[in-house]
Amino acid sequence: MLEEASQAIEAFRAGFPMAFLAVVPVIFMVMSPIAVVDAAHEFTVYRMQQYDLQGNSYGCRSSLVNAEARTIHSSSYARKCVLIRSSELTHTKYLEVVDGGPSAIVVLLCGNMSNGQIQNFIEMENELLSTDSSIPVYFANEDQELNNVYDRVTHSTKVESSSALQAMVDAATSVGYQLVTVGAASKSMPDHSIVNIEGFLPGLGIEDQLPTVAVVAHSDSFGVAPYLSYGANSDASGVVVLLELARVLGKLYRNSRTHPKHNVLFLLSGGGKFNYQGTRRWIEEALDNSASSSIDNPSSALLSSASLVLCLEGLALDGTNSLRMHVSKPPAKGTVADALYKNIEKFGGGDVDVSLVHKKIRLSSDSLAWEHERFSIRRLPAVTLSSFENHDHPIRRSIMDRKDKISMETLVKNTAIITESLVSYLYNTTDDNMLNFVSGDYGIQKERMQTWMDFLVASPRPAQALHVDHPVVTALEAELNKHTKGVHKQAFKADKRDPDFMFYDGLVLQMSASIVRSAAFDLYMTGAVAAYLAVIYFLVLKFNGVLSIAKKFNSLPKVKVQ
Amino acid sequence: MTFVHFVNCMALAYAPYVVTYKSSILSEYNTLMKIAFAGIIYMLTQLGKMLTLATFFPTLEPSQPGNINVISEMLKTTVDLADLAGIYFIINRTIGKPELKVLISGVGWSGAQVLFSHILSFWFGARGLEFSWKYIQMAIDANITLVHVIAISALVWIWTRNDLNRSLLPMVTTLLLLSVYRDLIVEIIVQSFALNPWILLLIKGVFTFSVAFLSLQFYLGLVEAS
Repeated sequence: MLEEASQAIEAFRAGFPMAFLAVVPVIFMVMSPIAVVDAAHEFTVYRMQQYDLQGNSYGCRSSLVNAEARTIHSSSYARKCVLIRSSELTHTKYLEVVDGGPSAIVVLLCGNMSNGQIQNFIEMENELLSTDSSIPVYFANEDQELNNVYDRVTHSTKVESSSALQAMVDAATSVGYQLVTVGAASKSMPDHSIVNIEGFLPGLGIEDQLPTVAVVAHSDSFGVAPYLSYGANSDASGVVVLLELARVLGKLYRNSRTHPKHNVLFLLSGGGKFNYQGTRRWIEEALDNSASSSIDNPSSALLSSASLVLCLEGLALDGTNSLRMHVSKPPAKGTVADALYKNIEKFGGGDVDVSLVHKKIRLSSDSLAWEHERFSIRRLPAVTLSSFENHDHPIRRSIMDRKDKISMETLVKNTAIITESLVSYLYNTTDDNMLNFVSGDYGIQKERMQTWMDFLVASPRPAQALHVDHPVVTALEAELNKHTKGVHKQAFKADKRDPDFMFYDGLVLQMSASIVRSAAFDLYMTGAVAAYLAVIYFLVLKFNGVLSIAKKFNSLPKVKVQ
Repeated sequence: MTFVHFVNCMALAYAPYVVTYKSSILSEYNTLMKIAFAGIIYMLTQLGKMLTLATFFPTLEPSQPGNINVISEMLKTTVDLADLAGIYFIINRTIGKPELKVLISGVGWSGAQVLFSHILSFWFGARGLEFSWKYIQMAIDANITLVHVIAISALVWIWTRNDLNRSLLPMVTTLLLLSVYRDLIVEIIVQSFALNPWILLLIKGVFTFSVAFLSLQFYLGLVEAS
């Protein structure tokens, strides 16, 4: 063999240039194009939250997955990627799985979960967010192919083999799935900015000397997986109410006959779910501005003279008929908050259940309960209007806070009450039928609110996504610009040396599920191939025998003899 | 899959060629160069076929899976008749015993074919993460190709013989044509009955072995007589 090879090489060397030129291009042309591998099943996975806030780390710390799939019905999870259906998932189950030492967890979100299961899931979600997880946790929307993967994995890993033979057969025939994420490990995003959008309506007279009312809602959403959180109730509903207020008030302020002697500030804050970072920054800037003489940002400077800050959140809660005013300390008689509360009671008392909820600020706590507490800390009079009875309602931080869980009727009703109460306060009137809020230009436009709600919940709005040029941000800015003055975006980053907050990327990834076989399968295959080759070897070696057998069948006419 | 899987596929596909070479008269007569020559003729023939296809059938649409365009596939397969010319050329240029001629052209031709059309698929596919039976099937197909091309070579050799009984010539010609159109025929059968790849392989195998058996009979008849 070696000699022959060297002869061949010698022959090539002798006629090198010609042979080379003739053969090499031909080899390239004749080689068939590379057959692309059958695409493995690919699906989108959404990673669990990962962020640092005020020096603490939250969520899952890693993002890379390369492990074989198991389900919760499998016997062991060690160093495997565990698939769990959201309908089967509870917090105890989750802890049980984590104890098994898996390398990753993928939760399949079922489309049809019962109310009880959703309740369980929401509670589990909040538990999950409160604990630090070192393994990657992913969420994926269930589809037919993923269901197939799940069923096959369950089938092939569940059965305990009864006999040794059965075990050998199982090892050879079992089909596994290798789950691999495409992409690099998650990195921090130190340059990610949080965006506030503000606008204002100057009152009649000298702005600086007029009382100011600020209306605030945060625009971001939150959930266990950022890119699955739509935040319909918390806080798309607040944003929609704010936009409607801006429209009605904008109309009133433009007419010189109905120009009230109050300034109104509007703020759509960013990073609201991260301890109200946007609001905090905005207050700091506003108070700094009012202190310094050089005022480059007149609108927010008005904040220091605010008579009331009105925060809006969760105003479309389905199945409740109540509007609550959350305060950090009960409003004293004669304050604006008190006046507004009386108005709300007056206008909404018949329809809805209006009540005052008092909750002291817990400074020892890691996070603030409500957005108004940011203002209350700075001794600004602030309240939050919400349908939520208390701040730890789990849906406020859940991916289940979706469009189908809100009620537009409630939202419209609440908007009417709030608008009416606020307008009534601005004009300091007690006349019940001062403005017609049912129809006409000043009426609440249900279609418009519906359109805005649809737009806001059409795509996830986590703080990690809402950068300066995000479509939602630009649309909100354009809309505020239509109705108010001095609209501008305030984008800010975390401090480089001592960041208050830090986000991480790699929150949406592609995961591929490839069919794999066990090592035993390879072994058996090698055995089969070797046996086959042995048969071929003997057939070729004893080809004369084969020929003699073949001859017996030979009945064809013989060759003519010449 | 694993590297072992790749090795398995390679062994299944190429070891029969090595076995055939080592344990037949090919190694006794030291014919490696001639086999390499047959391989080069294979390449040149394929090049010629490609140029012909590109020149004369430029607008033929590739047929979609599940719906093959029989006429265009027929025309394309007709170009494969050039393979017969290539094999004829190799047999003509080889001096020696008839079985040597047939084996050199058969092993050289099919070896080159299998080498060029499968090795990259094995390298990129069988080593990939995803397991697929496709590569095992490809490897078995390589075995069938060996028998197929040896049978064609035998038929071509028989066809060139003057001492062949004239009454057998139409049968030999029919068998040659059947061999050339084998892939198309099998494809049509599989498409019309929506069969899976394993059945396709089985039909191919049965078809090839039937043709091979018949050509062996003709060959033996001729060799015995001379």
